[in-house]
Order: sequence, then C-alpha cells, then structure tokens
Amino acid sequence: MSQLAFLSGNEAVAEAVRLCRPKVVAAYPITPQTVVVEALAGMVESGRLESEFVHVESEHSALALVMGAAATGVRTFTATSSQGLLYMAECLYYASGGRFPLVMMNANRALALPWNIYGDQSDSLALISAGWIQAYAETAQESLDMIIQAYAVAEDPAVRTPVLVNLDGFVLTHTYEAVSLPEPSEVDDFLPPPVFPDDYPGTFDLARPQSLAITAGPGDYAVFKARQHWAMCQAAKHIRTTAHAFRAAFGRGCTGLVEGYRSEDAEFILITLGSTAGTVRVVIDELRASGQSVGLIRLRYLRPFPTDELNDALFGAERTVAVRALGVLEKDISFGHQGSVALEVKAALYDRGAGVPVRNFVAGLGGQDVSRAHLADCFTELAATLDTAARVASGVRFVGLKDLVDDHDQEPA
Amino acid sequence: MTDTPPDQPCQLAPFARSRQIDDWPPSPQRNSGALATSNRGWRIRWPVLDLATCSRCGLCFLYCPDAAILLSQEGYPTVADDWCKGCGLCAAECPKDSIRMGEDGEDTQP
Repeated sequence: MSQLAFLSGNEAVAEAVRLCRPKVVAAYPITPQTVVVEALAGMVESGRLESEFVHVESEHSALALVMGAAATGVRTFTATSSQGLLYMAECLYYASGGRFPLVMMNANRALALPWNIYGDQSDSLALISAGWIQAYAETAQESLDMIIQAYAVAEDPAVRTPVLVNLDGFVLTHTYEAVSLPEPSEVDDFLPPPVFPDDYPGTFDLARPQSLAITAGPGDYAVFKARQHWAMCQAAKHIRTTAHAFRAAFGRGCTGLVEGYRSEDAEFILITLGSTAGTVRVVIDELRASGQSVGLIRLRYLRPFPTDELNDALFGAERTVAVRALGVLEKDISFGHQGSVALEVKAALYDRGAGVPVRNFVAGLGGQDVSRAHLADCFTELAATLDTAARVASGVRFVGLKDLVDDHDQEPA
Repeated sequence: MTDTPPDQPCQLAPFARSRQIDDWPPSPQRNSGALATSNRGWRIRWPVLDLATCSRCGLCFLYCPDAAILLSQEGYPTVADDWCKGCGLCAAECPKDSIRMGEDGEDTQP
C-alpha cells in the first residue's frame, strides 16, 4: 500500500529515484538541487538504495559518467541545475544523439550574470533543442510520478530518448506537501528491471563487441538526426500510454502533455508551465467568482511539443466558448525576441490560431515573486488587449517590473 | 532486438544496409572491426611495400593509428584499403625503408 509522506519536491524526486532502482547515480551538488544528491547519497549509504554512487568533479563528468554506465545496459540517474545544466550542454547532445535512455532532474534556476541562485526557467529553456524530452512538474507529487514515468518512456525501445524532469527551484524543490509514496513492489510491477535486456540497442555486449557513439559523415549524419527527431515526435504517444498505465496502476495523474483548468468555457486563457500553475488556479477561482471568463492551460511537456493537444484544447470540439485572447506566462526571456515558451506556442498555433492575440508575460526572473495580484493583472491585460492596437504579437510584458521601477513599459514602438 | 547482422572484421560495413530507414542501426554504433565510411575518399597517398627488404619486425602494424596494416600468416604487412587514411606513419617508422608513400591507387605490393 502507498503511504502518505510529507516531502519537499527534491525529496519526492529522491524517493522516486530510489523506487526506480538505478544501478548508477552520479551527480554534482548545486543549489537548489543539492537535497536530491544528499538524499540519494544517504540512501546508498544506508542500504535503502543498492546503487553505485559516484562522486564526480563536475556536471560535465556526471552526465558523461551516467551515459557510459547506460552504455553498459543499466538504469542511471543524475540531477543538476542552472550553470550545471549549461556545463553539461555538450554531453546533453551526446546523450540524445547516442539515444541513451537517461533520466535527469533539473531544478530550474536563473543563469548568471548577475549571479543568482533562485528559481526561473532560463536554464532548461536555453537547451530545449538538445534532444531531451522536457517535462515540467507542478507539484511534488507530480515530480515523483513524472520521474517514475520518465524511466518507462526513456527506456521504451521505440523511444530511447533521454528525459529531463524540471522542478521550479525553491518554489517546488524546497516546499513541502503530502506525497503518496508507492511501495517498491508497486513500482517494480510498473517498470521493467533496471538492467536492460542483452540485445538492448546501443549497449555493450561482450559476446558481440561494438563501437558505440561513433562518427557519421555527411549524408549518414542526417539520417541519424531525422530518426532522432521522429523518435522524439513518436514519444508523445508513449508519454500518453505510459501515463494511462500509471493512472491505472496508481490511481492518479494527468494523461496528456497539456492539462486544462476551467479552460473549456474561458474566453481568456493563460498558458504556463511548472509550479506557477498552482497560483494561477487560485486566481482563476477568485476571478471566476466575480464573473470573469478565465482559464488555464498548463504545458506539462515542451519536448515533444504538444502542438495538436494544445490546438485541440484551444479550438477543438470540446470547447463551449471561443477563445478571445491568450497569455503565455513563463520565467525566461530569449533576449531580443520573446520568452521561449511564447515562441513555441505561437509557432504551434500558426496553422489554426490565426487571429487570436497572444500576449507574452515574463515573470519570476531570478526568483521574483509571482503574486496573485500579478496574475490577476495578466488577465486584466488580456481583456484589454482586445481594445488596443498595441503590438501584442511581438511585445513582452515584464510582470512585476512595475513594483520596482516607474518606467517599466519600455516596449519598442 | 539485434540491430544488424554481424559485420566481417576489417571490412567496410556502411550504415545503409538498404534504403529502408529501419535497416539503419538504432544508434550511431557499428560492430567492432567494421568501418562505416571508407577513408579512401580523402586519402591522396598510401603505403607501397617492398617485401623483399621487409624484415617482418611488425613496427608498421603496431604504429598504424587506425590498425590499417594487417599481418599475413608469415608476418608480412598488407594494407586494408578502406581503412588507410594515408598518414605515412608506417613509412616514417619502417627501420628498413621498405615502405614509401606512393600515389593512392598505386599497387601496394608491386
């Protein structure tokens, strides 16, 4: 029987990893991910997790090491954040191009300079094209559930694509909630064993020696890359079937790559990702009570990007009210353009969403508080979008900047 | 799920076994001893061996950075023509000057 435990997001990840029984764990501690590494080291020391825990000198080494371990045919785990993720950048592409079924946790944190250890999503969004499946958890429970499902998806022979599970730094990694903790036997029944079958692709076999992670010249290279892309696109189906199987086994969890909240009859919808969605739900309930037609769509996965699911949620047959304006709320900015998620959303809507204004709200940079008042302002501004000829398509609204400076609206005319 | 049938050692084994994409290896990998892409294309010179003066010391075999020199049963060197990249290390190391770098395509054992 599952039991309830009072866990932080980081601790929920560590418990999930313990239940998945990786044979090798290598990680370099970095705030706000450190608790995961400490907890796993403690589990290995106490014997709660039978695994080789390797102390490495950097994040680059951590990812290189688990990649090598996966090439011997075993389940692995590593975790990082911010500068550490960027230090891994080279190995991220190696791992995905080599089709190693890794699972990594990332604590979303701001990037230097200025130096800042607090949460935002600049780190993982900067590496959205690295070939990793990217998941964003809202709660500690979802973090635990996503880690377990991540192994099932990554190791599926048809997918063989690494998974990055993202938790908002501090807001999710360091806050506590009651988490349903499965029994080891329940997870054993759900996941395949942590030692891959002998003929698992891309792994060493002493009876049949191979060179792994090798060169491909012009021409050949493009075929590998096309297959990598198609496998990632196919992964969406496997994410959904895995989530359905998880729900059948554990009785909880979303089964889609996007999740709506009071969105089917909402004229004004905020699209966001990660833990901010929790606050958005509260604000929506408050605004609904005063008669406003507002809703939320949460992107649970950014890679593969859920283009069809998002379009169906916004324009599909299930809707009872037509969408009038959309806001994309995210904790990052692609300097000189817009937030990365807004760019993703707009590209996805290009075929079906013509005419619906999309406003980009950039919030929570470097750990700045995203308050209920800020979010209510976003909805107010969405409604106002309809009455203005402002350049909503290219504009970026820095939420919360007006708390600090008077001339906060510096958008180019 | 085996990816490909075993390759012959020291043979060219291109990634493309057919024009069906599923016949390609499931990740960038190849059986040991098999080469996915020939080095012939960018080689302009390669070793020409004078077996009459060869002492069968085996230094060319040991020094070749790509294991492109094979030894016969009797200990004489031969060149694996898809593997040799034409670097000339064997010619530089041969203590008997039995190897010279000739034009690519020249008979390697005249």
